[in-house]
Amino acid sequence: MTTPWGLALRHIREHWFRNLLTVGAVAVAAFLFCFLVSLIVTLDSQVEESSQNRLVVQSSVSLFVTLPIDYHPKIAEAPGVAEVTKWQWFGGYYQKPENFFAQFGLDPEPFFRMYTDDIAIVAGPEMGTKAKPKEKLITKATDATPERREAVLRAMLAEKRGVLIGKAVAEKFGWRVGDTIPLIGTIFPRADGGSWEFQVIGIFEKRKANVDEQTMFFRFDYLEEALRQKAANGPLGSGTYFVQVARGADPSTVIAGIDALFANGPQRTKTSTEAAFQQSFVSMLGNLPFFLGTIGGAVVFAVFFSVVNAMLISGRQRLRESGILKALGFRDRAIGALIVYESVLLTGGGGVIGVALAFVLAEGLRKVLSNFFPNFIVEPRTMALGLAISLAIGVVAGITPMVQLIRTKPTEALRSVG
Amino acid sequence: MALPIGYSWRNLLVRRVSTLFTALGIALTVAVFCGVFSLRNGFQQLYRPRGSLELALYLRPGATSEGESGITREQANILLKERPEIVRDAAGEPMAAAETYLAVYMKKLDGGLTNVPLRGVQPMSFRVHEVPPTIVEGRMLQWGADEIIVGEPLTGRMQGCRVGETVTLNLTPFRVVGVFTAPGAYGGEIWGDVERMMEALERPAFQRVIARIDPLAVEREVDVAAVNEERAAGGLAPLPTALEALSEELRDDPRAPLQILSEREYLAKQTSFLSAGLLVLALFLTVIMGVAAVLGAMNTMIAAVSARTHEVGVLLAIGYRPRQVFGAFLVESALIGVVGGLLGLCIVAPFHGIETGATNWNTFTDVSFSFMLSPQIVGIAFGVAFILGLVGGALPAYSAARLEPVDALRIR
Repeated sequence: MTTPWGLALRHIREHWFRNLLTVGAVAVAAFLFCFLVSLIVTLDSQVEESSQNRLVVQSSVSLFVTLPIDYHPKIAEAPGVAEVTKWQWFGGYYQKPENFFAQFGLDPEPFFRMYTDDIAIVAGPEMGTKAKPKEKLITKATDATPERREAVLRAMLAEKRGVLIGKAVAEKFGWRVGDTIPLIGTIFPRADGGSWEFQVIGIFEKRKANVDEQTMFFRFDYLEEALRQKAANGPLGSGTYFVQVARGADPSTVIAGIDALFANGPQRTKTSTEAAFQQSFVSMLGNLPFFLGTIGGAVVFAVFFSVVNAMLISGRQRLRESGILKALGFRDRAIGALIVYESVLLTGGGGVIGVALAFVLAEGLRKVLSNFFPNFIVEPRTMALGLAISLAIGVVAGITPMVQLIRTKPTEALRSVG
Repeated sequence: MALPIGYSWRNLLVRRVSTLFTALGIALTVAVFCGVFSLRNGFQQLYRPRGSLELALYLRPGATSEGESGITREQANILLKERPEIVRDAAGEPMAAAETYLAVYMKKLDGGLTNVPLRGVQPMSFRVHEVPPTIVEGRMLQWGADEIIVGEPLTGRMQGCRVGETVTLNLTPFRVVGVFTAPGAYGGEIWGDVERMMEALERPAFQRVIARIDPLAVEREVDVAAVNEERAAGGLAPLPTALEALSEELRDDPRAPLQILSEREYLAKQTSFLSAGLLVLALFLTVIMGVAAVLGAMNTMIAAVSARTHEVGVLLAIGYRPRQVFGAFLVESALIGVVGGLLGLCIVAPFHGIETGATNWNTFTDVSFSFMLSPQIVGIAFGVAFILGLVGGALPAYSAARLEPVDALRIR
């Protein structure tokens, strides 16, 4: 006899409210699972998408020791180095300290050449400024043209205060091309106690996860000039230098070559690939990824228990019915398959809802978490994993009552009052 | 008469597997809640303001932490010589120390790099604190020598931090001569002679001046009303304390523009990022997991009610009021919550006291702290478990109370 699959649907409908709760619990768990796993994946993606051919030169002592600016020409002459740019943390904020985002002083020309594939310029001076509504001033990343890139670079070279800002920064503060933005310097305070002024030349969108859109890139020589003229205070130097390895050169040889240049000071350097540099920030989170993983596991576990519980109850209520089915001649297999099918339908439904929720809310969560996890994304493989776990819970939760139903003899089952 | 609590309790015992599963859902919620909050608690304890000592820090205006600050030697000298609020000891020496601060890379014993706070100190650094650092192993550092002493937690976590080993800063090797303990975040630092540090690291400026100050002198020195009047003219909020008013005035000092703030206030500011992050994480997880746990509890209670429909009919028929039946089921589900709470605490209790490390994003340095359960956390967690049980049981209990005795009795 064929298995009466329709029976499972009828059961689900009969105890619809209770089953809704089961679906809800699984949905919540699948959502939370996707969210936590995405946090971990996000951390890793910054490392994974970093270029192996890009190096970061920093002080061997500390991230906060600046390297002398005469290191620039020395690094540029090292064998295997194609491009070098200074890369100095500015540590400024807009109006109040909470409005903080990353700003880096660099050399625009090498930077633009090195990051051609990593960022897309989505707004530039040729698109007009204040006349049009704001949303018209930003194009899609796919519409970014080499001509615009060139135009933005030229404009930045022409305007000392010119900056390139990430789309996230532009959206957060409502800035657009042509705007002047005043920033208070915490490391480089202006001598007159006032704020620095920058002018937005272009807006970029990231193409790879190693770039943070909550970033502003400005001209290092603007900072240098202010420090030399005593218009601002602070250490003159560059915290890091970013280096592009020449085509065909071996990164590890280039690393050794650069570090050997400064082995006798004045500041020893520690050169690493961009990936290793990013990894060092992830490792600063300490045990956080482990904790998130543990919590994700706990959630899945808790919901697993509640689903097992619900299915056990369903199984008990069904003893009598399964007795009838057995008496009618249905095989144990069919009876067992029915309850597992029901269980999988419920958890699968919950899984789909939870994963869909994670997908829909991803954008909103990214905004909320932008300070901690700027590149938060829910990847397809994470969603697939969430769904797979939901289904697995269904299978396992269905097996317990299945065993119970199969073991009970028809006569015994018929006597049950469930 | 109300249904005895034993009735509810025995019902749970009869369905003990189901009860346990439901309670486990609540238990895990409670465990996660307690876990994250006790981490946050352990971290905040590190920066807890200690004592009533009037300890103040001078930083460069605009700097939000020591790392960003910079004070030149001339400015520090002016400060130490001239500031009237700085307390002087019996010998007439100002009770103040100019210090450097740098987060330096160190290798962890279990692999990987981290940032450890390195502080260049002066002899007075050991006297300004209410609870001064104590050497627990080796000896005190010698002034003028390339020697350092390390905080005790570092010896078990970082390479090269035991007595007799060396830490190379740029080109200069510094010998570890002692291990010290100190309360709070200072306990996890490395200390050495500030002059040696500045030379080895080629950093010409101090980061802060720490001083004991006399609050009465501060009040004598600054006219709070006048400062606030000026601020009001500029449309700014008034400053509540004399120290803040003094800080405002110091900013405009042409020779040594600085800000002054109490150590208490400074420490409180240094926890904002990680504390806020952990708080958001704890609340977010608790709410979401709580929802899942309530759904589970509700599920169980609905099943319990439907399995006992006949029994409810009997109770109603022999004269129990619907209100009492409602109460009995509610108690039953609240008991599940209590059991879940207890289980959750059992899960999380072994974590208490376990040390872990994380980066304090305000100072960008590695801090070691432990899970610290507190009576408040336990109390709130227990309350959460109880409420989760109650909320889960309310609807099923209501539907049980609404049953018509005649219909309910008919169901076998």
